[in-house]
Amino acid sequence: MRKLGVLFAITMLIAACGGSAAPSGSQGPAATTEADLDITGPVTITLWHALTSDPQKGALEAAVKKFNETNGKGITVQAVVQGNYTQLYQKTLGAIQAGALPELAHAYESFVADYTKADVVIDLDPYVNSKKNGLDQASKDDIYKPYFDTNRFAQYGNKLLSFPFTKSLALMYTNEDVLKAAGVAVPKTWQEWEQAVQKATKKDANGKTTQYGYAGTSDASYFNAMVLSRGGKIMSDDNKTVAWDGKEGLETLQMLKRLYDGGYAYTPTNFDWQNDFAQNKLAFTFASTSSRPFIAAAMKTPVAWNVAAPPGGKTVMFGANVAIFKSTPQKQLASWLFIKWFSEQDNTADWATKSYYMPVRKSAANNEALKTYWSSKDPQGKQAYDTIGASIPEPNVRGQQDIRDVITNMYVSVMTGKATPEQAIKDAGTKANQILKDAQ
Amino acid sequence: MTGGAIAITQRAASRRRRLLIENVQAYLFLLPAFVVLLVFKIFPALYAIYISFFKWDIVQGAFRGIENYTDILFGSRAENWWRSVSTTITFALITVPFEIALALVIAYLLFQKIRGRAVYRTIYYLPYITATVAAAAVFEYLYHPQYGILNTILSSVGLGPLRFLQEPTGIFEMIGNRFGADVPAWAAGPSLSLVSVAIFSIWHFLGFQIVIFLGGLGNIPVEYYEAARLDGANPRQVFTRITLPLLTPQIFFVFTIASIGVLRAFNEIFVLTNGGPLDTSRTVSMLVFRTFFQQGQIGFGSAMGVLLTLLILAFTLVQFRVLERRVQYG
Repeated sequence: MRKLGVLFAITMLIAACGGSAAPSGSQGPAATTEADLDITGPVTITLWHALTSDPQKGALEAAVKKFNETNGKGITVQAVVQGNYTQLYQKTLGAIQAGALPELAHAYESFVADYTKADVVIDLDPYVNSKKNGLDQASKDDIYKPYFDTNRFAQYGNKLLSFPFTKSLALMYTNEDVLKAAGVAVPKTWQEWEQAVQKATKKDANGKTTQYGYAGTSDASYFNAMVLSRGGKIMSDDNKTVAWDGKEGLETLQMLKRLYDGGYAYTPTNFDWQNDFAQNKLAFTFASTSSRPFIAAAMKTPVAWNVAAPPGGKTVMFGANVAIFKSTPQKQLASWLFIKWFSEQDNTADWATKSYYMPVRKSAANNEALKTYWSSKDPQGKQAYDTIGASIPEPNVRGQQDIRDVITNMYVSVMTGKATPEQAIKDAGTKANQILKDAQ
Repeated sequence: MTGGAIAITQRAASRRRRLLIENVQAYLFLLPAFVVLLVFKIFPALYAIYISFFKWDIVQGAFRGIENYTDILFGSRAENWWRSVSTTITFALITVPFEIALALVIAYLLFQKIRGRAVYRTIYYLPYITATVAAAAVFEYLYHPQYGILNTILSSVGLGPLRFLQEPTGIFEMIGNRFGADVPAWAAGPSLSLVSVAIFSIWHFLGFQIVIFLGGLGNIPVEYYEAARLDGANPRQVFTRITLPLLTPQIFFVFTIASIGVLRAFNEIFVLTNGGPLDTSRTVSMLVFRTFFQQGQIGFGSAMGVLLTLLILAFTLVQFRVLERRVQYG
């Protein structure tokens, strides 16, 4: 009964304050006026985040320290780690029920969609557009548009409910040494890519693969990235049905199926592909740009490698954002001022050199320290940065988490031979559309 | 009324007073434990029942009566629910009997006077005190499709490689396929993935059961064995006629504990397969976790939690009814 007891205990914590409403809307924004206030006295705000380990944790703490020392308005930010993203989400849900939310929380789009259902998240548009405290037009143009897009929620009146924070990308990792040894050029189309994967694979006399061309997880994002790069779409324009179940999705599944069946591709266990890749035993994989330091660390001898958008040039945007919860006008403003500071050119550049996350501004590339860092230590960081403009956010509608499971199951059922690509994608599309319908 | 009667009444009154004080004292001693239980167990359990009657999607919504339950049992959630109930029971059926049989055999061997007995006993107990998550992470590598030692062994005898934790195909179907037979879907059996988790589970909990059985074996009077030997019983007869019957209390205990443990297993499944592949290892506790925490459907999640409790309760009751009669105490 212990596990159940824990579950119940958490239930109780979540429910501790009688449950019903989140902090009341009485202090919610009367928009323009509140965003145009001044900070009148010392304000302390708390940021809950999921950066559990260095260098990211240390980088955030250093940034917070710098902000606290230099903001000149008496704002003190306290960054509190709340475990990994799942734990952070659970604790935030609990805090909603208990009415004990922090002022700011690190959150994925799907979290923000859930929190907004409880009416605790503030609309950032008035703050962004405030003449006094907002972003000027140059800054708005400087921040990559996909970063704004991903934080606008169609199902909540297209409001900007969170702001880019720990951003990354889904990219294709290519081991150039392996390709060179196999005598293949870097592929420019999916057809060339498939051939490259086959040529880079090595098999022993019994036909057993000793070196794979491609390591592919069943994570929905990489399927989505492949669909996008073939020119397909993830969602229909009205957000009512999925669009990955079309021609591009089917071609993706069929191609991968051929690679799996031929012994050219495998499904990695956890992060073992990183070792394979770093030791010239793997040609391609798809992963987050945040995997860069782990690849570098796994190398015993230097390896020539790069990251890029898959053939076709489009990919999926990754990474989490930060949302401000309803509190007092002073605290909300202080929270916004911190976020705004964090996204300033030099600060976002500094963040990128220390955390491996992507900077949010185009102009960050002009930052000397970042330039030096890229050229001397992290050339792949620059490659990743150059693809931000080609990244497309994944849907942030409610139900998306379940749809991701549907895609994963579709992928697994095809690759393990439980269903044909045609049948699997048809069933998965039907299921996903039903989920969207139920979540309306 | 005589003086004697008054004295008796007074004595009775003082006895009652003493009894009262004793009772109050006893309850005071019980209070701390009771408060802890109340706050962390009883109240949350009752509150979960309360939640389960509401649409509680992130925030409390409309009262739904038993509709969450009917949706789970017969409605929109039924497919997933019954599938995970079936997975849970399958998991219990492949884990518990093997676990007990193996523990019994090993305990019996460890009870013999063999050299290095204490060392073996320690070794067999080690898995149980190893953190589940850490041990599961190690098993992930034993099961690794390319680098795992299991596949290395299998391929050295011309079998495999198998995908183990990534394999959604039923084991009977896999065996059938190897011999070119077409196995119908209903006979496919549990997925290799679920069986792999079960093997971990057996390995992990074996030590605890061995210790219980060792205790039981130590309680059997030596005279019985001596008498049996004098009567010319062979070792097999000694085991089946004396050891086994006199171990029934321990077997019953272990069976109950193991069944409950397996029915609400979570950590090992979470680490090894996270419910996949194709949901073939999504037991009820995994389903509750996903519904409650990952989908934020707190009402449904709580209702499933309550149903899981009832399921375990029913299971345990059946065990008590059916099996306790066969238990021989001393």
